[in-house]
Amino acid sequence: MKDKSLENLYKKARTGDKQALEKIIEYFNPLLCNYSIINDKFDEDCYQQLCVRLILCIKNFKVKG
Amino acid sequence: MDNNIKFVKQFKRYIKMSIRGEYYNYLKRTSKYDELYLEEASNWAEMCVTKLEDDIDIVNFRRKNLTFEKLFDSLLDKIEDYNLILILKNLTISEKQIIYYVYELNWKEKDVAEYFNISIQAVNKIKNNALKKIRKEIKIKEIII
Repeated sequence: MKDKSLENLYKKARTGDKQALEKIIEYFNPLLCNYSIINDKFDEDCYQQLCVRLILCIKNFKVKG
Repeated sequence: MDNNIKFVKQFKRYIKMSIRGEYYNYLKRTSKYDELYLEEASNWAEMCVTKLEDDIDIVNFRRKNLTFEKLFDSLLDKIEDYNLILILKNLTISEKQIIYYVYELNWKEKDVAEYFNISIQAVNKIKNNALKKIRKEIKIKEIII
């Protein structure tokens, strides 16, 4: 996915488009997986928490300037 | 177009910072934070015993490691490709350290060898191993994607 479509997806997700939200989560999935590996094991609870945080971030993010 | 790049940069940065904050919060809440570093310290102690070194300074090792982890995080922040971040994070501590000093700080192998009190050959060996690992992992990821 190109960066250009990220903004469009963000705008769609803000209006309540679930598919756009899923695509954003998919885009950031490697980051979430990266932080979910604790002691060389995949921590599902941690992954879930990070997913929730990501969705909240999309809700709360405001463009500066 | 400029606005778009600005948005993407801001958005990614915001997400990265928030996710990292949530990660540390989770570690503290579940008390896995201490386990993580205690394990590293015990590994270090074992290594010292096998090397028959007299000064086993776990506290200093832990402090040094904590600061290095922060340094390494600053390198990871510059990388846009999350797959590469994942690969770099899975390297061993010595590999991480040598990759950081050689490629991020542009030190010569000779200086790195002096700093860690090891031979230049050992530095090259660790460095080449790390690069091999990275290349292999990237190839695997490309096949999967």
